[in-house]
Amino acid sequence: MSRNELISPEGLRLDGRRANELRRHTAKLGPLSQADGSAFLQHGHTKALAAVYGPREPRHRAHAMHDRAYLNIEFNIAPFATGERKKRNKSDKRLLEMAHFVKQTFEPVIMTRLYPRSQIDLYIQILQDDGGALHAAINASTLALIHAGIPMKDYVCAVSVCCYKDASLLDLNRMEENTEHADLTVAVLPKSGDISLLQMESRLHADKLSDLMDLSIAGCRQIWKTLDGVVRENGEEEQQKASEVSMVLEK
Amino acid sequence: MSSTIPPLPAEAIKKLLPETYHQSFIQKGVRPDGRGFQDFRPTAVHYGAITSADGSALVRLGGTTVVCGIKAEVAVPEPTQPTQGYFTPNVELGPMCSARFKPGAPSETAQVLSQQLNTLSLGVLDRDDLCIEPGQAVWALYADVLCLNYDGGALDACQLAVTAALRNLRLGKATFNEEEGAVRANARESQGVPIKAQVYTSTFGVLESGQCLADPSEAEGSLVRSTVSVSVSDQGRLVAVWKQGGQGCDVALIRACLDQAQERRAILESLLAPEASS
Amino acid sequence: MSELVVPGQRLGHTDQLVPGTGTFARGDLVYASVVGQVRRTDLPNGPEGKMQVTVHREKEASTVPEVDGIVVGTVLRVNPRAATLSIQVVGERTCTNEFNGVIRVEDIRATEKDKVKMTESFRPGDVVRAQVVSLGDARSYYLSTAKNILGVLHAKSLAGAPMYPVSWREMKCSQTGGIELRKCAKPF
Repeated sequence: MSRNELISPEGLRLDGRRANELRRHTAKLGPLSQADGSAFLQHGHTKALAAVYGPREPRHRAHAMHDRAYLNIEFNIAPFATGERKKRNKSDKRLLEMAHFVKQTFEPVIMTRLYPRSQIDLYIQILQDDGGALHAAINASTLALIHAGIPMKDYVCAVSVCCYKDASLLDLNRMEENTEHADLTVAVLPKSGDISLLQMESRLHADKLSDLMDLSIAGCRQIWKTLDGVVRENGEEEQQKASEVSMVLEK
Repeated sequence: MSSTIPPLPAEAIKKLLPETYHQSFIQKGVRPDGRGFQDFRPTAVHYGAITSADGSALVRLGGTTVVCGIKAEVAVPEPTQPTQGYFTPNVELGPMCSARFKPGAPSETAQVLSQQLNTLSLGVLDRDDLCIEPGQAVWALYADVLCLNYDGGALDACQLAVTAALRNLRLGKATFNEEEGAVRANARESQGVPIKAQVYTSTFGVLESGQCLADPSEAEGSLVRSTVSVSVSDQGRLVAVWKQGGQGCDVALIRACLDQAQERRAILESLLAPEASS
Repeated sequence: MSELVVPGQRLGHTDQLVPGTGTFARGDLVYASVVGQVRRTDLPNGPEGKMQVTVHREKEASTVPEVDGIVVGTVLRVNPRAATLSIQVVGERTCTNEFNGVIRVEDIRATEKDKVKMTESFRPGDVVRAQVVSLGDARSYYLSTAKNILGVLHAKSLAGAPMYPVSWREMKCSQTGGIELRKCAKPF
């Protein structure tokens, strides 16, 4: 396999995955005690942490909206997250853009109208970035928001896909992301199948789009299964704990 | 509205009258989390948590979680100190780790912490060990410490994380090519950095009554009138002492803190002992 | 133990169910919006054959003060017209995030409103129980203490010692025995 080939003649990718295979992904609910809700998520070597505070009093008066909550998102990438050290400024355009994407993804899903004049803060920290920081951030945010008990219409699951020659690759790692092939990040509401975010910044033949969409929706459903499993497990634990507490109180 | 009002839950007393809440525990000789006055919170170190860093460690001190990642770069030394490399610690206490910290520019607390870590690092690393070619190239180590969850004891946790990340650090064998004027690092022959001495920091909170609490948590901070941070090296030598806060305290009390810090040092040493370069 | 549901999970048809807290309706269907247990309750005055469905969380989301709700907070600032509170308890639950509330001088007590003086009612640091009057301006909730059970619960005297109430408008220092004026809440 030459240096520039992303897929071997046997149909395997650089890290040994098949074209339509996700990286190993694991999630944990509530790793942080200070936040109202938090989650840690790992897609291969990409590690994302999300924390939710709120609903709380808006920090700036201008942010208070009389009919719904203001959603404030901060996206941060650790200086040691990538191969080369990068100290990013808080006002780095790339970070602001990422935060904006996450905001747009979640704004229609979170039922902000239940909390007028308040603010919900969502802080995202990418600890290690081996490709797919945006979709890892969205998946981690879904879990953190659910953990915080913010009412939502559905989960949001996201994944990246890329069109490479005749094949479509799912869940790109850093090497695959850094090529000039068109890649897109898709966020899906798995229950209704609605697309919440679609981001693509390079040229792609229009005929290929529907294939890529099908692949990404299939990928999102797989991720959804993992997230759902973690949420249900956590929910049952909480129930268990609550029933133990009430038993102690009855004694 | 009904005329019966539910009594305040214990959780509410803790929030509304933190001093009364904590005082009632202290008077009985215990702390709200069940510790004795001299007990530190459970501490754990996880080496190599960040694989994209050249050296990293995740440290938990009770509810406080910090992660330190060290990145190494090749830099040109200062003309006045041609053999000295750079070590730059930077602490980030973002709004993620506690509702106490606001978004925006680094807080004063974070800047003070970065400076304290820098001071302590002088006893840990010999800057001359970071030299690749005098006057041409040296290693610049950036130690970024992110606080993920804040519950007091930031200096202790950050210093432990930096120490552990330095032990975990692997640098490629660097050679300076005179013709190209560039440095080549061979990642296969990686090696650690020589560490002069490991420095361990222990913080104590002094109450108004003159009693001393080891490793005060964030909630206990409301009672603490001044703090004493003691840093000792693995040879048992004193590296730094910071006493902060308005209330003066006895020399005897500081001496007691020194003794406790020495005891704590032995525990931290065994905690860090497992092989760092996994 | 009842069934655990997750956001987006379908709970039933709007023909039979009325969506309550923790749920929402889209089209003809009712879905859950939080993780928790489903509860179906009869509606006393509701339409025939319909039940209200709610989803209850074990770990509650942080609370927001509601109009008519009882809150407890600490007095931050006092000026002749109003006292500013940091609300820390809503109903029986503590809030993780603090909200600001304002008690205007005319809302301190129910009678002789024009004679009330702020300095004879609250001091910074007092712990006060109050009722939410309205959502107020963008910055804070408007609160009232114009009921016997509302007012100062805990306060410290000038000497720094706790005080106990001796009448509805006086508190006595436990150390010096000095009397200070407050709008006290009736102890149970």
